Amino acid sequence: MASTTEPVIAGMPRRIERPSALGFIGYAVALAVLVWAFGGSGWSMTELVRGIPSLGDFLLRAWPPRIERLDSLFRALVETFQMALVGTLVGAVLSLPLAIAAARGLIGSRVLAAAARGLVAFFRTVPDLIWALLFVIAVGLGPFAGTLAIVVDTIGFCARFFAEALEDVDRGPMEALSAQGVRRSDSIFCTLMPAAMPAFITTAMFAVEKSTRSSVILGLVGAGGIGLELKVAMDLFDYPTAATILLMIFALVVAVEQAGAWARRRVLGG
Amino acid sequence: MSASLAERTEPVAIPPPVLDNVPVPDDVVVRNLSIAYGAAAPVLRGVSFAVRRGETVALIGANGAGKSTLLKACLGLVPPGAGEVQVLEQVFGGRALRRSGPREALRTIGFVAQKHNLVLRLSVLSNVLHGFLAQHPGPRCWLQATAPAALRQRALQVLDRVGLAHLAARRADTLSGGQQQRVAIARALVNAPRLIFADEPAASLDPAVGEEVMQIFTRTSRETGTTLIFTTHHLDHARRHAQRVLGLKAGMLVIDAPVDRLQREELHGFYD
Repeated sequence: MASTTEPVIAGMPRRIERPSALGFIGYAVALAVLVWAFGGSGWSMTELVRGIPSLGDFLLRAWPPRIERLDSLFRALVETFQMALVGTLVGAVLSLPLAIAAARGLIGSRVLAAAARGLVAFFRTVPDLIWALLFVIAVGLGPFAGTLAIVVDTIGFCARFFAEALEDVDRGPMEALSAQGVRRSDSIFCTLMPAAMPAFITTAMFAVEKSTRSSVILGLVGAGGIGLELKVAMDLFDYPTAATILLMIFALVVAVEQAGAWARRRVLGG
Repeated sequence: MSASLAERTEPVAIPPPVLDNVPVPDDVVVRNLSIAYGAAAPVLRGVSFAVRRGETVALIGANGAGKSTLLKACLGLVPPGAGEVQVLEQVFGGRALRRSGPREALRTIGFVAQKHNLVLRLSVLSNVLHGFLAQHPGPRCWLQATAPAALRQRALQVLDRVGLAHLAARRADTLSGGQQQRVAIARALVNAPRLIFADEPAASLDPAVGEEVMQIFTRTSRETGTTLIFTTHHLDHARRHAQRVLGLKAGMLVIDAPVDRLQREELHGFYD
């Protein structure tokens, strides 16, 4: 029969570690920044509650949705989707060389890698609406400006995740080919690219979803798509037409997300 | 040598062989090679040996003895700290590797690692075709669909030699471990290399499949006159498949002898 008085082992870790003095100061500063940010953002539950009736009023005035201009709205919606699709495709393709340059340990030049990472970060940092404004100045109003904005936004999104996918892939096959005298460019394209392809495709699918949502907004600055129709309807207080547009956008975004989820399952499963 | 070797506490390097005036050409000549990683103790210390064309050599040694480093130095992947490595008349010497030189030599070398290192999402045939990339660089050999007909045919012939022609269209990740290793061997053989390095090619395989893989290597070496250098922890593989054994201990070469002159106890005592 084992003894009931088990020996007490020293060195039991605390349930919650006491922070160091520096750690405590860090937590306090983080809390102060949060309080400061809430103050500056104008966060007000009173205003929020007071705004609910206005929202209800909008919904009442928007119902029932107006369907007289369904044909032209549908064409604008299709244009929105076309912008998203082409912008994402071109952006994803252009992301590949940038991702190879930006991925750590793939190319010899550290300067080139740092430059590529900087460029990708710059593309990602500037919001798509700003890119749209710039491209409207460059190529004029219309869907091409919006498509170009989506291309740049997609590069900022895809190149980063493509580079991470390339960094995560097992380098064994590449090293095995290098040991036989195969050029680095050939080893990258025939070993790393196929291995990273599922990650590339799922990232590109997410990018299509993101671009579809973006392309709606880009219309607000005249860069094509259904966003322009929404802005006009809201400016003219034509809330029933605005409601129709919102429902169409909702249907498009849900359809693209569902198709993307299906495609991702197929790619990851296969 | 056999009795004393197991009892030694400190390894003693054998005297370097006479490397000049060798009648059969040497495919690999290692002269007084020392390699250290950073400030750590040297991994290899004054290693010298020569491997003649067509010879089958087993490189044995405990973990950390320097086998893999020696193999990497022979492949030009690690620069020698001191001494030099000459592989197929190409000298890898000095602290910096010359980019063009080693690559030329590597194009006639086959390399098989412990892990098969295949591209698992691609077909078996595509993986074998990658072996051609050293001599046929460019996108055509990235995938079997775009490869020239003559190269596809040669790749299939090599797959047939390792008994896998019927699986050419299958994805590599659907094969067993032994089959994957045979594909890796086919990839190394497809260029008709003059010299094959294999780093523990049977280590991750069960004994029967490991024996099968070693037989493919030795049969190829015998039939084509290819020089074969493999590392192994399986002393039976060394005894059965090598003509000569090199033994590394703490970075020094302490065995260099034809396998038929080595006693069983001498080999087994080597790891004590």
